[in-house]
Amino acid sequence: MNRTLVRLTHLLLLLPLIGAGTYLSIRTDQRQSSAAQMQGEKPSVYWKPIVRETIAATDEPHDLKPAANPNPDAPGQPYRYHPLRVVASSDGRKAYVSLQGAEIDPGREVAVVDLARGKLLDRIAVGSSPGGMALHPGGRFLVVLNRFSNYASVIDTHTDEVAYQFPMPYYCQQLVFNRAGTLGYVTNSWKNQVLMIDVRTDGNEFEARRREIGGFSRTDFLGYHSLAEFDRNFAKKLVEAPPKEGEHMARCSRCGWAGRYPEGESFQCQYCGVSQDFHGRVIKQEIIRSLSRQKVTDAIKELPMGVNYALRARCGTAGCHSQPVGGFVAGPDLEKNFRAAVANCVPGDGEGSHLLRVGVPAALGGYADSVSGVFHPKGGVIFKDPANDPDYQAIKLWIDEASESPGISVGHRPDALALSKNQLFLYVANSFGQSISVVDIAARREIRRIYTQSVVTDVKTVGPWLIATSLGAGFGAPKKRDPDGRESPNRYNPLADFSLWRDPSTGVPLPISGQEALGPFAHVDGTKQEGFRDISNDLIVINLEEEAEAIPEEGRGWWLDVSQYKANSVYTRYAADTFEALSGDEKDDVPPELMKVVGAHPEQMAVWKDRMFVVNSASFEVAEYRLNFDSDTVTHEVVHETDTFVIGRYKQHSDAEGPMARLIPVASYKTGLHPRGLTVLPGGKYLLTSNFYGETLSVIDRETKLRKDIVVGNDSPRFPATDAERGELYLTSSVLSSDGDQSCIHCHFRGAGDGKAWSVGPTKGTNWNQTKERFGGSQKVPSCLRNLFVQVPLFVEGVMSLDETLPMMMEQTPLADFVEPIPGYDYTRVFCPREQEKDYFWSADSKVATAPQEKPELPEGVRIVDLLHRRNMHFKSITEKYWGTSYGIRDLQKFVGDFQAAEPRLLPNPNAQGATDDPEIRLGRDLFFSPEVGCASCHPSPHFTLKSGIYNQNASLPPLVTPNPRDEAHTLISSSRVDHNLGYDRYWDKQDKGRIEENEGFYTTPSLQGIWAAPKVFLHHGQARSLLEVVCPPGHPALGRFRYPLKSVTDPRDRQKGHNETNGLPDTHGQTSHLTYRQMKALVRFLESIE
Amino acid sequence: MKKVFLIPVAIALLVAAGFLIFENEVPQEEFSYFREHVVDVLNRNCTRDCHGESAEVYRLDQQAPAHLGKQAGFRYVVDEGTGMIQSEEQIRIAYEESRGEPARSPSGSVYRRIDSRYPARFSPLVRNALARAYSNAIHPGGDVFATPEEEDFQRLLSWVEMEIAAHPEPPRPVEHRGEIFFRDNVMPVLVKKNCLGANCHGTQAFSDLRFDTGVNFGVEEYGPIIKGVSYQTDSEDPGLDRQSSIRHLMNLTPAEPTEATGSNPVLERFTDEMLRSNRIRAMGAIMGKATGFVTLGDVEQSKFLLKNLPLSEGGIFHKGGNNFFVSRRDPDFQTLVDWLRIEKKEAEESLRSEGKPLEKSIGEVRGILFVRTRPENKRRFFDVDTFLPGARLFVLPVQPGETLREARGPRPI
Repeated sequence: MNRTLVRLTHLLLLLPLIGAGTYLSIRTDQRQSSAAQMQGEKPSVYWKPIVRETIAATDEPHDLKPAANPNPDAPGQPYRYHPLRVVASSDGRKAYVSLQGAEIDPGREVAVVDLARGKLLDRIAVGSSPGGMALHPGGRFLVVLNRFSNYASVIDTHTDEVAYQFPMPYYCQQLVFNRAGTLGYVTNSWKNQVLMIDVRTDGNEFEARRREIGGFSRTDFLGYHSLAEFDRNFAKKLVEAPPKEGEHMARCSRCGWAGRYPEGESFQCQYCGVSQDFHGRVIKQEIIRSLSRQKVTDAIKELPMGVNYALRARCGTAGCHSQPVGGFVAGPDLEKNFRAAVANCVPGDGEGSHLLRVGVPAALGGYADSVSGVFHPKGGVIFKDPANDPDYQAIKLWIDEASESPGISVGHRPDALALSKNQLFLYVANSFGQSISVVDIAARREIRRIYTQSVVTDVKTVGPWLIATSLGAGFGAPKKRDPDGRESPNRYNPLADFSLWRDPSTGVPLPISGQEALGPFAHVDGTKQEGFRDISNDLIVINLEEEAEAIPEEGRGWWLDVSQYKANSVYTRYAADTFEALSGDEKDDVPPELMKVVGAHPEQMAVWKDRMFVVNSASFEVAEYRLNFDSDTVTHEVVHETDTFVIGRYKQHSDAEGPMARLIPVASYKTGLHPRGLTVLPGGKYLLTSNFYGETLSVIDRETKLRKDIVVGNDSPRFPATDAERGELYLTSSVLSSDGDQSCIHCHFRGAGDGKAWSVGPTKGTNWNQTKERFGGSQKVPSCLRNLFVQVPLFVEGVMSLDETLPMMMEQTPLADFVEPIPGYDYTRVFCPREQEKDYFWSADSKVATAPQEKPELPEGVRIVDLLHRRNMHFKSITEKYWGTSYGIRDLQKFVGDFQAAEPRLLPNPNAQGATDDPEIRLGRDLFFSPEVGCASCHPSPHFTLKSGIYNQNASLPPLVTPNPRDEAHTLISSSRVDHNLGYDRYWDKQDKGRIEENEGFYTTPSLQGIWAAPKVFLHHGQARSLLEVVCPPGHPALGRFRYPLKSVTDPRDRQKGHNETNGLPDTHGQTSHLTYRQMKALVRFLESIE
Repeated sequence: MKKVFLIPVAIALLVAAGFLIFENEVPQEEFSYFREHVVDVLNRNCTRDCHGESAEVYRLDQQAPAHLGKQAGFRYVVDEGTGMIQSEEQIRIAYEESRGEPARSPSGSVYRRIDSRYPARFSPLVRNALARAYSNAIHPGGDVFATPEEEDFQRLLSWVEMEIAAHPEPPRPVEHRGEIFFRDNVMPVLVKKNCLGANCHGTQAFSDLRFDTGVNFGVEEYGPIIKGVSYQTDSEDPGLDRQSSIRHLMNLTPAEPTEATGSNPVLERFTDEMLRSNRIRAMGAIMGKATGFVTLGDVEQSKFLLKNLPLSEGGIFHKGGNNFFVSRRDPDFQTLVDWLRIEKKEAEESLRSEGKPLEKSIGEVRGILFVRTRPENKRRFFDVDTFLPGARLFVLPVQPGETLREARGPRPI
């Protein structure tokens, strides 16, 4: 009975619990499963400190995915391999050609060619979009850099197989080895750095590893070399000095500080001062000995040390940054502290880093107590006297000694590079950076820059000389200021420049009474040519010994300026041989002896003894020069081979002497279409060029000038086979321009821009009697040629359709040039047949891009239609030669449109692919799409441009940043509208009526896709030279120093300048003034991550 | 036998008691998570000098009159020695306070600390603590959590999600025609025109018109805002390009006016309550606010519209600029006009004066009312919402068809 009672009692006691449990379990089941999963589990996402991204390559090979084509109706194009670079084997019997492919369909192979038999042997599979290659000095291994892959491939030239691959970041460009072959230097255009690789090879095996350079010193931050070392020391200390008997160690539950306290008493935190009773939370001595690494790390505050100690002491106060606040933490977790500190610093610029500026009084250059709306919330001034504050100085030193990792930072978009003779210095061509970086290899730092004011495509060292291939130094602006003449705001000054506004309904220019004097130029460029006539092809020869001694210019870091066409003891800069050759060119600006560069768009050089070869991609030729460096010492002798001679298509002046005669052109060799790579075989008899469009390898015999083209890609059908390909060839070749030396890609370099802000057609004005065009020094950036399909209507005024390139085509072949013979051709005896006259009169190419009252001085009996006919004949004869069929200007106009619509040609973005979880990018994205910031209102996804919902035909908006004085000097009218007004219908799109700029001063919204890969010349006038300058209002703390002061006649500056304002009113280009330093950086990082 | 009979009765009673007891108890699951994870979050981030207070102060707070706003205040009891939530009782109070029963503020709006009608990101307890870059919220204590990735924020968010899942509530449906039109058409236009900019009419803007700018985190990107498009431009055919796909891609193919569906991703940032609130703010004085942006008599004379038109088009000065609509022909401008017309019609149908509907009489000038107050009544100019004792009213009636000048009569000599 008793037992029964006990059991019953147990049952009675348990029943309520059972009932309650049943009830709860039923209720729980009814809840959402997600909530149920959360119970008792850690949150799925944990705090990830915001850190500057590192590009430590993973061991996992990965290829970037090509950007998708937004055009659903794009016609299919033949697959092209696009041979890019060529390297010969050490014995000269084989050639290796990297087959880069297209952006949307990258190549993955390197072609192997038997040179003796003239036969393609094989195509070796490598990474995605192979480009730069270099043969290791050992002669056996060929390293191939894969643009869209995070690894490099190594080909064993004995077996012609990939023997090895090693991690490298995406977008490695070119590679050179030191003579011993133990070190390699690689340019990377994604990180704008030179990377170093250590090479080990015994002749049969090859091993390479990227060397980590730069970054922030973890040792200085921690006070130890590594966390592990710290752990060991800490553990050792604990063992040496364990808590005494009756003493406990505890960790403050509020701030995380650890400390000891007597047993039986409450714990008073020595850090935040809070008393607490730790019932059961005491960390006993035995436990300390078995603490995990994390626990040990948590207790780091026991050991004051390093920069971390200073930051914890000054910033990590409880209630401030002991917890992550405002993107910074100086708490108990050492790793978080390190990452947070790094994220708030500019490597190498302690004084300019947010980490310190936020704690420095405004009077001393900080903004801790600023009243401008940007200040240090709650914290105020931390460093009252920075100069005498040891903590400040320690932190500053730590930042000053840091540099970007993992390589050596150089200029924007580094490409070619060359080692000095003594192998102590590297010279790096910064394509978009308009400069050459000089890198001290021992110091592993860029020590200065040479300013070229132009794209540099290749560099070579020959003894103490550096030779660079480049494009013109001008950018279409006037040579110098002219305040009493063309810049005069006085409309009665006969020299003043005037606007060229038109009747918006007809496109007819208003009379001069309806125009305004334009006033100051925005820019001058130092050359006399203006507009497209400033396009040139340059060679620069620099005496490196003199360069090292040259007196620095004003400003930080810049050294030698080679932007002028001069010859002196330090440098010689040569211009195109046709630079002043045309009847419309300004004369007597460049010394005739310096106009001797043969060919257009120089790409690569090769040197053999005293000969230098330059491959010219736009004119399909290799130019040969004699290196005549002795000329410096032979100052009074005429150094030339003949008195006058013809190299290429134009007469050369050969009576140069002294520094002007350092290079002497001696020959020119024709190649396949669009050669991009060049090498000279051992012995110097043969030249090899890889022909990007020809799909071939040209083998050129220098003696006979005979050439053999070996197909390494796909020449069936032969390029150009489609209208899009015909347009592509037009854009990338100079052969149709009137001087034979200009092409679209001179400004639209690599499908983007050339890093300069050009003064060209749309900024055009006129003179007082409306007989002359005036470019006037305002600025328009060469629009990126990529992804145009989603940006219609094009141009900043929004008047152009995809195939309205007629005005630009006419800029390269202006009618005035056909009054006289042009280089290589003489059409002066050609006249327009009467039956064809009407074809020219009603076409826009007779009306657009001419001053309204212009009446060119024509020879007797020559009419405008004759010039039009001559130009069209020129087009037809040249296209028959290179395109395979005869095409007129209208056909080519259509082809260019087809090319622009066919593929986006966007480069796959490594900032986006694989970085979607980056918290900083996510923050930037949230800000971008925040209605309070408002970026997405005008740059909505997926194309980040706004072409719909804007209710004018141009899809244009009022200016959101302060315009230049000369912006909108010109009412832009599309050639299609002129055609329409004249009654001409384009045969491929008869319904297009064209457009005219409806609202003066309005601009369209450019797409942000691909902006990460664009030159840093932003906004419609190109005044913003970084994305921070675009998004920041004036004075925002995120604006830091330029690494090198900005060279600008109009607005040279050391610090970045916020352009998010219109006429003094901030926040007109997005509401950003309330964003913090960290948020602004995150916003920029998101912009750079847009695919 | 008796004992056997009692057992099932006892069981039944105990089970019933169990139900009753646990129905009134705090939910174990949410509470245990709160105890384990959220208490430390509060201690670390919210307690000291802000939301934690002594038991005595807390008691006094509870007794404070409602108009002091104690309902909206987030307070809980902490240990006086440590300044932390420590005891079981303190944890229980913190739990209840964090959940926060819906409370009605003096202005009549309902305040919820956890709003079970919407995803957790919209609950004030979550939203206010997160950095403004993500939340667009006002928190006097500043940005407690710099990013949503912070561990403590994730714990708080997880707990609020559990609470919402445990006590879901349906949102109040949007039925008023003006609200529907405002949500689907006007809000997209306001976002598109950047009216909600931080320094324009954003949450913390220095302006009489401040909108709730929604929540940024946990939402998708959005494309071109064309929700507000009711009309296509009547300008000539833009003659874009030969590729019809471009026209289609850019939404430039002329389209029929479309009815809004409410699926605009822009609106994911807002709850219906936020949109309701924004509509009221936009309406200004019409809805009882001190500002007056809308004139229902002639809606096109509303400040809400005129401030965004160029002066040359009849606009009035706007500190933020007058170029938001180039002309009255702008379809987005017409969207706003349409909205105000709907509001006017709704008002005419629903409002009564002396028992009669106001149809076609809103905006009709019946006369001018002059108010003369006593000199000792200190008030601001235009502060006429409250009738102060001693004031005198003068009415100048205007008869139908009569102008004000005629009603005024000849100027006194």
